[in-house]
Amino acid sequence: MYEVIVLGATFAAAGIAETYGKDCLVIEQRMDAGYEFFCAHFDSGPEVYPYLQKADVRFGSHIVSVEKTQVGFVCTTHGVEGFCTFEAKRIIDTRVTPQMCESKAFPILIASEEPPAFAGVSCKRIGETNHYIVSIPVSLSSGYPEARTAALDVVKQFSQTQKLIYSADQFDYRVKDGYPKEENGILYLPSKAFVSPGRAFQAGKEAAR
Amino acid sequence: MTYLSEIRNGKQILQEVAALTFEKTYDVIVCGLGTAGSNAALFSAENGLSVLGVETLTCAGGNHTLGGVVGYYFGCPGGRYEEMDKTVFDFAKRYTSTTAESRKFLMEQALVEKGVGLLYEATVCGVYLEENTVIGLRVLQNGHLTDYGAKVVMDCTAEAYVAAMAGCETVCGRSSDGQMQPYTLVSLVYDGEKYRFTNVDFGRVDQYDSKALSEAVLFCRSYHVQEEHAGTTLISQMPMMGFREGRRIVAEQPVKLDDVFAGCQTGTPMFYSYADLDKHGWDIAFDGEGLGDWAIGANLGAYNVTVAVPYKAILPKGFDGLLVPCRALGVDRDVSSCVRMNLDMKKAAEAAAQWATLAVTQNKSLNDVSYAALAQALKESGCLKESDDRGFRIDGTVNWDGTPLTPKQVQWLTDPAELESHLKTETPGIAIWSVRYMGEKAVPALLKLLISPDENTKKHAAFALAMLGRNEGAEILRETAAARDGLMLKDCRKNNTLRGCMAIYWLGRLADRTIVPELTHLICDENENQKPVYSNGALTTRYKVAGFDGVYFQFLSQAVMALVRIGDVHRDLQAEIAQAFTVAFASDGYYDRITKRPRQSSEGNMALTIKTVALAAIEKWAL
Ligand SMILES: Cc1cc2nc3c(=O)[nH]c(=O)nc-3n(C[C@H](O)[C@H](O)[C@H](O)COP(=O)(O)OP(=O)(O)OC[C@H]3O[C@@H](n4cnc5c(N)ncnc54)[C@H](O)[C@@H]3O)c2cc1C
Repeated sequence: MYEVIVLGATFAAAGIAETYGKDCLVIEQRMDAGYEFFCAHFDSGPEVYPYLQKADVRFGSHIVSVEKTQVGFVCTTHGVEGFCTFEAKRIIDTRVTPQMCESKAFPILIASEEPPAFAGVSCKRIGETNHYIVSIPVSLSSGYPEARTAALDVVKQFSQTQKLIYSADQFDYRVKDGYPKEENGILYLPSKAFVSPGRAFQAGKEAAR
Repeated sequence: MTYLSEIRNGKQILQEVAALTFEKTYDVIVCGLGTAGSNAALFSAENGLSVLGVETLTCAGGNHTLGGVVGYYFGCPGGRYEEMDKTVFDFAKRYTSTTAESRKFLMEQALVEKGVGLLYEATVCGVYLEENTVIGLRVLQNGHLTDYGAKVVMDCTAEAYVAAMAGCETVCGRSSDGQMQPYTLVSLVYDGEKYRFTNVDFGRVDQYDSKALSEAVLFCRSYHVQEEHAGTTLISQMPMMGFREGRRIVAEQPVKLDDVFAGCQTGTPMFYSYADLDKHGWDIAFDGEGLGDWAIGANLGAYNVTVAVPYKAILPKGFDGLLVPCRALGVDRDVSSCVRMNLDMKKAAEAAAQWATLAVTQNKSLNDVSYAALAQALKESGCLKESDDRGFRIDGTVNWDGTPLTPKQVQWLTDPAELESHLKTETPGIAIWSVRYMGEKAVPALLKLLISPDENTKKHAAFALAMLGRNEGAEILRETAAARDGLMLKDCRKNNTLRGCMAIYWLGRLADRTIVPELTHLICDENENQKPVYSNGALTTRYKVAGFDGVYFQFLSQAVMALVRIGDVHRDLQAEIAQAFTVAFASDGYYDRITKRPRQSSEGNMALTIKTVALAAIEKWAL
């Protein structure tokens, strides 16, 4: 039995992993980590991984259910070995669900010779480069196809000197106030509730204490 | 009787289902909307079928988008994918830095326009079967399980996940150590002028072991790849892991490399695959004999082969209702490194879509659809062209020495009198391989060439005789091995083999007892890597990686594999060889001599493989 199972290989998870080490299991649906900030800033690179390396991690594992038991929790996942179950005393969920959010955006990274301007869309320059993050607001109920349709509308307004470099493969969520919070014994600590990867990491460390 | 088949802790569990109601039934469900799956879904929908796509990532395209693998490695152009490609390339020219980005948007747009239902961040966790016919899937998305019916299910996961779940027979890995090709981390970088994808190779991993998989993800993503990214800005590591090889189905009509070499190809092709047998890793010593004779024994590893892929290579043996038109199709391991390229996958997708369309519109099972109707549709689109049957070719743009390469057809020699003029060169590969087709009639000529004063001629004649299983040239092979002959033959534009390594390979294939002390010395001597051959920079173009002695690695890996082969045949030598292995691999000295790189790097993993193979032999011999 693990001391803690952390849902989502986020920066908050990295903070928890650093504290608990191998007593912690991080479960992640994707094959990468720290994506919640990467998709928003396109700059937080591989620094999250060394911390996660201290814990046990299962990438490519979808969460099927989390159930309370007399001594803790049983988490059922589905991944490369099919259904698997893991037990832990605590569960910390660092993921974001649309219900937790007040808004979301679909960020794209573009190269632009001039400061870009598109109606209703925020553009942020990365350092002194000609790279800009263009954050396209989408409704909370939108899926990826709708978000990409909205992004495509922006892309089609590009001048000759603008190019799309990379589009996010995650939404950039703005989490409502009130997190972290505990419900039914599970600590909800959405990494993206914090302003930066560093803050999320610290929050993970604090939650682990 | 209806069953639900699931995998639990790696094992298949089959349960009877009494009453079953599907949320909705589709003509086709595609699991995995990658290179093949996105096209299979699109073509099926264009054909008027109702389609549901289930994808674990957040967009379509797989390796071709989120994997950052945008190019075509050889292949035979032609087919329905071309229309989408044109749209993607045109859009990329104007709006995006890579075609991966254009494809993400445009492929999805086309799927939506054609009414394909898209379930992202979803996976399949159960397969419904009526006897051996797949009739539906259990899909997991956001913690919810939903059952969908399908007339045809397409497993396009590249890993045969659905097929394995359904209980279809699958195979994976090489026979020497069960390992698959090295995996790769692909990143998007900016070099000041262009945005481009770079590949960094790592070790081999069992991607079906969740712990090993996760450790590999953590390792490769945190590994500091300074050299590879020198002078570039990292934009993003790609979200998909670059697994080049995975599980494959045992198909109704499998493709075997031996048949390709023997010219016995299928009469019911769905397309022709065309590339070299690109093993990617350098530990080719452990890749088996079918490939070994070709790539090591004749030094033809980078020659292109044409493979006629039968339509029933995507139908799992003994099953119906399920097609596997992706990298997991039914080809043997030796040929799987060729039949997996992006063009192949798109063609397999087209064939699957046409096949499903015929089955659904004619209300037939997949097994009952006629090949003639399928072939007609594939010919009309250009997916299947007889002119694509191009045999063996030298292809590419640049030779091993950087000079321009002129592609040409390979003509095997048929007259033993022609052998000498080829064997005396540093490009003897065609002659060595031709001997396989000539058979015994080549022997008198080769025996004469063994006593030639010309070094090339006699050594290469010894290789050719060994190709026929004959050991008259064994003494020459032994001398070549003992001299650590470092001449790099030059048949191929890449991956050429060192002659000393070829000699060791053939001595192993001939199970030559006499070479055992020499090979024992090679693997046990701590100063072996000080010999001149290992520092002759001119010979090492293929093996130049900082912190990796590729030439020593080649000799050591070939020597170990040769000793394993010799021990397999001569039981009385097993104890002696096992003792040599024990001495050679008692410490990490061998590893340190090969590489300074970490164990999970590509080079480190290859070094460890040598020891694994040696220890496995000791275990196999029950010593
Ligand atoms: C690093 C690398 C470089 C390569 N270079 C080249 C090259 O230059 N040229 C070339 O022609 N070929 C190249 N190849 C080979 C070629 O790209 C692949 O063999 C090909 O893309 C495989 O296509 P696929 O459709 O089978 O798989 P993929 O494109 O990988 O698609 C599989 C899809 O299934 C999804 N999936 C997997 N499991 C599940 C699941 N359980 N549930 C739901 N969805 C799932 C995946 O997310 C993915 O979208 C390269 C491969 C690699 C890895």
